Amino acid sequence: MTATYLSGAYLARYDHVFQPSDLICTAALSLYSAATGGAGLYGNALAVGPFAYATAQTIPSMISENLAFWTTDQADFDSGTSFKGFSSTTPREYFDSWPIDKGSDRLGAGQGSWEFGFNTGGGDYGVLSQTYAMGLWAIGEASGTSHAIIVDVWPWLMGFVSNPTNEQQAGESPSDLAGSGHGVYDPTIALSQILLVQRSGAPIATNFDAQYNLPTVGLLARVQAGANSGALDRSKKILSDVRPRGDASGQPGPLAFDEPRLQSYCGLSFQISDAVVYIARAAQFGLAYRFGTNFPTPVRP
Amino acid sequence: MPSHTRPTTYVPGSFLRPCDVCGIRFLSDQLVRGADGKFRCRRWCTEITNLEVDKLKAQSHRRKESPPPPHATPWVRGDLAAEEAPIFQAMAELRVKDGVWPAGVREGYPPESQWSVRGAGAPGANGGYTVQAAAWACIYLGAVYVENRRPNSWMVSAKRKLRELGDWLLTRQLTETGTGDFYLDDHSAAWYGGWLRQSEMAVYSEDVGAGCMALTRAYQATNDSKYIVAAGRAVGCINRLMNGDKLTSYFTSSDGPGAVRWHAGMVSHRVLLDQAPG
Repeated sequence: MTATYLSGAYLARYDHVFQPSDLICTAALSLYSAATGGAGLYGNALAVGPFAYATAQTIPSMISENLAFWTTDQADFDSGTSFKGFSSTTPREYFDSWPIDKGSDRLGAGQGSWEFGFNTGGGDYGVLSQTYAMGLWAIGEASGTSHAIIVDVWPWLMGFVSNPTNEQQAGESPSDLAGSGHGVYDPTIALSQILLVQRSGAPIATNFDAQYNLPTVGLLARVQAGANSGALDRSKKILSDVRPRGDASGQPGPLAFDEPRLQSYCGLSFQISDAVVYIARAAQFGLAYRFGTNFPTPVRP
Repeated sequence: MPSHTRPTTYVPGSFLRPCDVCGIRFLSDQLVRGADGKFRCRRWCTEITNLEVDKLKAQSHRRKESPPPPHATPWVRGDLAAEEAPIFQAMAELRVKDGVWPAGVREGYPPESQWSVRGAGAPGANGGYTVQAAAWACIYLGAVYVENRRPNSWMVSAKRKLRELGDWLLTRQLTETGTGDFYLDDHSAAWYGGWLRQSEMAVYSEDVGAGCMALTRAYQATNDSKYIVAAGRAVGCINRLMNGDKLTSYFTSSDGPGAVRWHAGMVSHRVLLDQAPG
């Protein structure tokens, strides 16, 4: 392995996967630029170390390149066409570009294709809502909510219909319902964990699972506040209530009620079965309180 | 002995007015008007709890002033952003025992990634420290701080926690200082300025982006330049994540099965750090 000098004394190999949630780097560049003025070049002006070419770029250039990837059609090996994967018409979760042989058993081969994040094996394909919400949040932070991707994807997400298989079933008792997660999916409250986007080759827009992914409320709050502020207020109001725990396994605990916002997931009727607070996800939900109208702006003492 | 609470000094332009919460008269420049239209005294009532309001009212007959008006209302939930409080407290104020933390106790859950609230051993940590938990807490707390519309006590807690988590992120950032294989003075190294997921031997772009935002927020709250310098290192790491196609060999992606390199312009999902040369 000593023949290949990539960086420092050790090998490092870049992945060839590009996914919308990694746009958080773009949001970071934007925030850093706002805090510092954003002047100057980053990277090396000369080919040094493992790089055969100069990498120096300004921050605006880096932001522009990041965003341009998602607004440009990329060649898809599987379909033989080019299209945008972060879109309402051809939604995909990530782009797996064609790699050269990286000589690493930890990096699989790609074909240069757009990929779904979820595959039932029975013709259903989906994407994780967290990936999409993170991508939209980052674009909003870096470029504003009028960006073409947000204008395209947001109405599509809000148009998802409730999947009957995840709604309350005939004969399902209240106690069964409490443990099932079943309910009517309402995308204006939060996005479901997995978004079902293709069935038997045809587009579909419904919730695959019976679970709300609550961090998406905070990540999408800026967009929702601009598009439908009343719905955002309603969502926060609903999810700010503590809920009885629906887990029939009955783990002992000091509390009779749990906080959906802190525990990050709940059923479609707001059932809580998880006994864990997910810190990063709770923080993401907290961003929702920066937007909306139903919380009077306090006068800070 | 009853106390006199009426101000005895005159300030031009001010006038006497009772606080709508405690009923004590103050000069008007000592009162703040809340979003609900009520005037509150800066001295007692801007962040007062319902219990304290009750005590004040109970003692009002001992003052040489009339009791507070019966319609006076305490600080309402919305004013204190009480709906948000559980999240803020979890991030910055809840006291949790942690034997690994220097003082054995810290305020706020992060940088622990998960926290069990039920079951055997609950409440307690069960996920280990992660860059994601620390960084996202900073992003949230920084947004609260910069917004500057929450009570002073929140501002103090947010700033303290931002410094605490910012310092922790600094200790984990891959730079020339620190111990381990990847703490090298090589600014062209793929990982320099990023954060390592030890179990996977990889630097993830989502960690680098979140860490960069967190350190920038810590800088905005504290004005301490060490955070923005560290954020600048993370920007360099992002730059390299974008330019994997410019490597001498094993470049990020090609436009076909051959070796024609292709510049995506987007950051790579991660960079794998393979083992040391044998």
